[in-house]
Amino acid sequence: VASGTTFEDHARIALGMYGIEVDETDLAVMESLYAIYGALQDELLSTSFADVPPEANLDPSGPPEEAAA
Amino acid sequence: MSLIDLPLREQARVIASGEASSEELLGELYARIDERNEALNAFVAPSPEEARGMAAAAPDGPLRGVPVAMKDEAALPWRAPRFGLAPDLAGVPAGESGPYRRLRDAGAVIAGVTNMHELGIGSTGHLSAYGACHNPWDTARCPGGSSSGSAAAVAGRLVGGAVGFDGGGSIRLPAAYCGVTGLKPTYGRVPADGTVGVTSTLTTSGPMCVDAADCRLLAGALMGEELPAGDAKGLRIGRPSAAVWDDCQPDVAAACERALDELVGETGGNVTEVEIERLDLCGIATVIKLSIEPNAAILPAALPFVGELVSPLIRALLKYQFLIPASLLVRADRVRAQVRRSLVSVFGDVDVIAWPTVPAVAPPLEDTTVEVPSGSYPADFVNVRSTGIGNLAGIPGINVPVGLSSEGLPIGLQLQAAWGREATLLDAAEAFERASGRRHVETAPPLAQPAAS
Repeated sequence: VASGTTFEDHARIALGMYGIEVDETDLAVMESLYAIYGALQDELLSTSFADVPPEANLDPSGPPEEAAA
Repeated sequence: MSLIDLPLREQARVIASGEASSEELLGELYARIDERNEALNAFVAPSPEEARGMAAAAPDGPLRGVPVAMKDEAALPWRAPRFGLAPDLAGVPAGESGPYRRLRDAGAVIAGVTNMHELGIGSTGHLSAYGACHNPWDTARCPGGSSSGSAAAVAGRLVGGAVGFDGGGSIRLPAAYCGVTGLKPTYGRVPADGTVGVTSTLTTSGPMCVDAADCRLLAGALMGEELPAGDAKGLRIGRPSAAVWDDCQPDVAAACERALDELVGETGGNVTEVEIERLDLCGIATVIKLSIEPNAAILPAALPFVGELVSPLIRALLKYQFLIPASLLVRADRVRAQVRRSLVSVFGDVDVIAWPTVPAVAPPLEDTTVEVPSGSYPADFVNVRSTGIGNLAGIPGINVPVGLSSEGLPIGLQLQAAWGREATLLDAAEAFERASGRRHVETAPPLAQPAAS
């Protein structure tokens, strides 16, 4: 949520861009979700993955391709 | 004892030997559903006519004539999956799904469809278009989710085995809450065509049964290959020092520690400390993926229509996904890459990694908040922290019942192994059953004990 903006403002504006309307119940649920998961989202956003290259050709049925090479 | 109380493997044996018929088993199964399902709401669509048709045509496979249940996530020839939603929202038509074909070809009989948490987004099972599912150990408690009905049906002894689906812990978590054995196979080992999660990179189907030997049998049918039994001698167990151990209710941590001691004693193995990189971020990375990936087919324009047909919570969740920054999804994928690489190294040193499947026992249906040492949280929040790594990495995992809390609610130990090592997990689970005299898998909830019948 941008500085000076309430979660409600942010949600209404961001979702409005996609034509998605929200009511009071939607906002209450979303705000509670943000309250629960927001801190972990922030932690994920503040973690550097500069030394973690993306995995090429992801196939979760086995180990990473580079491990087999 | 009713035929339906026999382990799946015994049901298969008595049918193969002619001591009982599939028709008799089905008769007892539907009588059991009549007797107990009202209290559990585990089965949502029993299919006696179709089951009898399958039994009559069953090929000579390892499960010939044996009834099993299917979660509401896979197409059957006579029924489209609803995914715990109102009809016609899941987007998958009736037909022969991959799990259905595998079971049919093994001779199994689909006795009916089981309840699940709405849209598969929840580890409690208290929300569903069919109404809440109930935990057989205490019907005022959550059965877990999203494979709520499959776990409750097996724990309540309504059926000997059931298929669950696991995209963030949805087999292992309800198995832990209900005190049954649940195996999430390696990603991709069971065909996913005709299932709601066919496009998911996280989800796979697997068996939920009373014990590991039955899981071995049902997993073999689902995978289309036998999983040979071993003795787990010298089992090397990895134990991380992390919140998955440290932030558990005392009863839960103590029961799981005791289970590791018994497992080491039985196998002559050992426990060593392991470090899994980014284990602390696996929970939120899984939540990010699960919030977006399964719903990619839902267009913003469809939300007003869909929103009228789902619960307020799910409606808000479907909208919330459009507020998640794309950078979080990229970072969730980096967590996935890092943890997969780390696990390659960890599984070079140990055979399995272990920690409690859930940090707290099943909460009440009326309030799904749980208390752990760090505070009070929604059960979903702390549960995915324990299981999400298996889905991100694609590795197999199993819930092993290891005891009851002071409130008489099940506690489960989660074991996970390297890709394709389901047999190692089953061997370890059977070793623990031997070490504990099978008391944790043979103790039925009060609702399913003979005196209650």
